[in-house]
Amino acid sequence: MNIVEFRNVSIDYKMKRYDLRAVNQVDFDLQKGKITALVGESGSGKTTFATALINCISAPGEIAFGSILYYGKDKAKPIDVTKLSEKELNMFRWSKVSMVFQGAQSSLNPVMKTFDQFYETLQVHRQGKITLEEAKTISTSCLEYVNLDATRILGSYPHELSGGMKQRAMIAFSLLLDPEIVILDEPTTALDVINQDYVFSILKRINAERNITMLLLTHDIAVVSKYADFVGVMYGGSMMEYGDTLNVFKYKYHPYTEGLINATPSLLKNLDAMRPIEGSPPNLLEPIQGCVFYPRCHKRLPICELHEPATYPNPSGGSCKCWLFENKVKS
Amino acid sequence: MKILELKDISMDFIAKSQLLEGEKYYHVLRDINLDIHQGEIVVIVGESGCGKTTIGKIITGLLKPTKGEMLFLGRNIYKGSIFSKKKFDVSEFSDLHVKLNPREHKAYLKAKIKEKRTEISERISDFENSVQFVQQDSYASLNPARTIYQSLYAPIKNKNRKWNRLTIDNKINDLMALVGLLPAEQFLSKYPHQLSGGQRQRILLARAISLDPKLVVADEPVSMIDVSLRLSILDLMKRLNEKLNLSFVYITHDLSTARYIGYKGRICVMYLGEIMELGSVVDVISSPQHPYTQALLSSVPVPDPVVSRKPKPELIKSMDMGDLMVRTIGCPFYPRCPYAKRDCAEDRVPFVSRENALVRCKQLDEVPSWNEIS
Ligand SMILES: Nc1ncnc2c1ncn2[C@@H]1O[C@H](COP(=O)(O)OP(=O)(O)OP(=O)(O)O)[C@@H](O)[C@H]1O
Ligand SMILES: Nc1ncnc2c1ncn2[C@@H]1O[C@H](COP(=O)(O)OP(=O)(O)OP(=O)(O)O)[C@@H](O)[C@H]1O
Ligand code: SF4
Ligand SMILES: [Mg+2]
Ligand SMILES: [Mg+2]
Repeated sequence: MNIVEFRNVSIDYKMKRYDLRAVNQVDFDLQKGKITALVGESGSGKTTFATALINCISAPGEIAFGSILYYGKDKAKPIDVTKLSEKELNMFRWSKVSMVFQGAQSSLNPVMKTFDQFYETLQVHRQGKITLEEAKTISTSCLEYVNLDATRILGSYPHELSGGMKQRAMIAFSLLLDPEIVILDEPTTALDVINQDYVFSILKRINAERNITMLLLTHDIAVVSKYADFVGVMYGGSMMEYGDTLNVFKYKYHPYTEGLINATPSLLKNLDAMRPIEGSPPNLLEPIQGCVFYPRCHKRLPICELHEPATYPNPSGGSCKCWLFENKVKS
Repeated sequence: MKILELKDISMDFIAKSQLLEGEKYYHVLRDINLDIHQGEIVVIVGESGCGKTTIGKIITGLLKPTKGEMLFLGRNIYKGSIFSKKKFDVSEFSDLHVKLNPREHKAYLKAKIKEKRTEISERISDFENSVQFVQQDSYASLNPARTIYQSLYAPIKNKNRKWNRLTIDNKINDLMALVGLLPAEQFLSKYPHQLSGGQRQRILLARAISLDPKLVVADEPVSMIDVSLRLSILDLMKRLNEKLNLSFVYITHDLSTARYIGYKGRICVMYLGEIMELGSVVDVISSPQHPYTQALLSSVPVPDPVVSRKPKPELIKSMDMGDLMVRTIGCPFYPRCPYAKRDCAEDRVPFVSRENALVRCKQLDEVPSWNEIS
């Protein structure tokens, strides 16, 4: 069951002389209770796309068109997030969808003790109707949930905590208002593998026990393979492929997905099977006529240079934005 | 041939905090012994904070260790105060010439000092040119107000005062071809922010090899680069290693890239400032002996869902890396190790030789083989 449906969403950064289209006509679903990953390299549009869900795109970004439908717990009719007023949005954010921002380790206020930050957020969202005791209880249970020593953490300043502890504290913070969806933007990028593995084991548990839907943004395809149920592959603002993680890795349908998987060093793969994708990432400031991946694609067709492909279904129930799939599956 | 030898190197930093009474130290490195041979790739891996960058800085002369010796081509570079060009001990040659009268003696000493000074400063610049550092953040290590050409020109001119412009330009063009940035003119007139991360990292490598070094220390050179371009930077380093017989020290926390670049080299696994396991990359990655190496390897995600989702045993007891201020004599991994026994913490753990690797662990007979675990 879908909890969120993005339909034909485009997002522009309005600059003085031109608009930069950071997200280009994307359809995307989040299935309730699952971990869905968005994978793509730097600048592919992951953060821009995900922040649209809480209508919190950094200035001067704007949703150019499209709709984002949220199917709440009890409502038969979805809410279109793009149509919410500022006041409605404030209630929607954090209590329905919360986000652990990229580089979250440095987004903790350096001069505030952890508890004061937790307390402040709770007060704002409960409109002051929360006692110190209640706030302590809630904060403690969230921190203990991510295996942190709550008493110690609540009394600490950010610099007194290690990177892994800060990251877990931020995850606890995102759970404060008991949201249905948590967006995790590169939650483990600054961590080493042991801490990364540990943070993900906690996230997996939260996902399973609380049935929280997760949207995980990462550039690391190995992380996706291990932890995500579904995955969307982004490149230059487009959703190149979407599907069940096992199938995406098994069939490597889209040429970019294939390139990305082959370019990722692995402990097991044959060394000769690893190779970089030639060329460099697209410059979104220059006009792109055909497929964004055309200049680097080793399977390209003449049509790819001139016309942008649509999103077509692929044989295992996913989809690919690529001309090669035009007539692959009869609908 | 050994290019560099680290002998019992330790590094302590003073802890600056009003809350602490008396002088306290962070013991960041302890008794590091490591040789680097000509044409070799040595990988240093370990968790964040284990001291990888600190070793890199010591190897390149940016930090002087608190204890231990470092030999560059067999010569001790901290002896004769190589890093303080002015002061050194005159006693070592004064007593040989007691028969000279005072004036002659003074003149002799002066000449001797001058000679020694030249020798030392040659040794310094030889070392400084021969060992280069490439840092993680390519953006921070290039001057944003200078074009790429200017950034490359200055160090070459500095080293080769007599070269004219044309010779240097030729050298720069050769370097650009070597690191795969062609046509060179297209990049040379640009400023750092006009290049992609991968291109900047290539420029840093070009600058590092422009002084014909023998050893390049690369600290996380690809961790900030797009996945699709990472392998091409690693390939470039492999090519420079083979073509110029250049030694590399590759510092990373990413074992997958370590395996890729160092498949012919050696790997040094560090934990809390100490070496835990040292062996060939192939051996250590395919059959790790030390409990820490095993824990590290088992947490690396593999980009294949069928393999990476298999359940794995718990190879680590706690998430707290030890305190750098409180060091016991025993194994630093002791509090987190599932095989630990009392004596691990009580005495110094020696290296033992196992399966072609040097391993520091007292309970090796208890540790299951990698085949049984993975
Ligand atoms: N505030 C902004 N103003 C102008 N352009 C922006 C802004 N934020 C992002 N962009 C541009 O939009 C594009 C998508 O950026 P975005 O941050 O969404 O990518 P990302 O996939 O999250 O990348 P990363 O992995 O580096 O976080 C990029 O070309 C970026 O330069
Ligand atoms: N100048 C300094 N003063 C005090 N402590 C320092 C100093 N430089 C480094 N340290 C400490 O030494 C330890 C090792 O640091 P180092 O930068 O070598 O780690 P690293 O292995 O490179 O980690 P990372 O993977 O995070 O880069 C850390 O705990 C760090 O805080
Ligand atoms: S549309 Fe063409 S260029 Fe684009 S990915 Fe598919 S085959 Fe390659
Ligand atoms: Mg981002
Ligand atoms: Mg470092």
